[in-house]
Amino acid sequence: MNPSKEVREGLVDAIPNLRAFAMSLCGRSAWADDLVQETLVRAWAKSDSYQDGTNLMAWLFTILRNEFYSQLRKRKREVEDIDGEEAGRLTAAPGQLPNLEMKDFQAALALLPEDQREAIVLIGASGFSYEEAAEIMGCAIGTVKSRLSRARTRLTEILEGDELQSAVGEKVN
Amino acid sequence: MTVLPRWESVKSGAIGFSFRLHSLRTGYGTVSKQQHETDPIIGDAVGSQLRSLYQDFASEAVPDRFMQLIEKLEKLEEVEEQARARGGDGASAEQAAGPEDGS
Repeated sequence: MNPSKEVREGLVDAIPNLRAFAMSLCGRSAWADDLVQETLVRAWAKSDSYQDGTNLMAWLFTILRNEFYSQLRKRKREVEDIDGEEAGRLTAAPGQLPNLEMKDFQAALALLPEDQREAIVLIGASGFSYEEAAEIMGCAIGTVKSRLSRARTRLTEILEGDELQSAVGEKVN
Repeated sequence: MTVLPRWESVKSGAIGFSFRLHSLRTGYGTVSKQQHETDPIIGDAVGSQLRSLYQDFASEAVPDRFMQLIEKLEKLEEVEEQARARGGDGASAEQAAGPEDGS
């Protein structure tokens, strides 16, 4: 089944936003671009499961986050084989941002558990509603709200406390 | 399609305050406005840093590899269609479009 015009055009238009979501989730541009590429290929291949006129952006975000979790599980398994302690630090890698405040913020975001990070990004930055975020994350609206609330509390703690210094310091090899 | 106006603003590079506010108020989807609740995150300091980071990512230039990928997918599809029109089974499509990863 070939993608409709809506899907084709929507895919191209969605790329900047998919990259921003992927970068917010995984914190590494090479990995983020792999996620976006995989999302485009999958969306194209399974475009018959998308119904024109429904929420294309939410559909694409769902594909991307599912791919992220599946790759994350795979990477964690691979890393555990080598060194179990490394697994928890997989996504905590501040990128090349020009501004120190933004770097700190990205590092703090990377310290959140994935489900909290996902919730706060979808609602706080991507602009999805609770309902849409729940659909994307495959959970109840109440779960979205509690993850979001924990994410906000945790981020504030990290940004105000001193764990950022030690966490960032640890990652310098 | 309801998402288009906002995407126009992204494409033209005008990612700014109005884009963010608009998208945050309405969300991307087809859910009616009454069903949308806004979270306090939208107005607080953490929220504004988060959006600023996200917009930095979203405004980066899109690497060529993505447009090349779309072109490749389009081409593959064309070849498949031609094969179907000829009564073939599309088996030659992959060959004609080249390997999945050229690099």
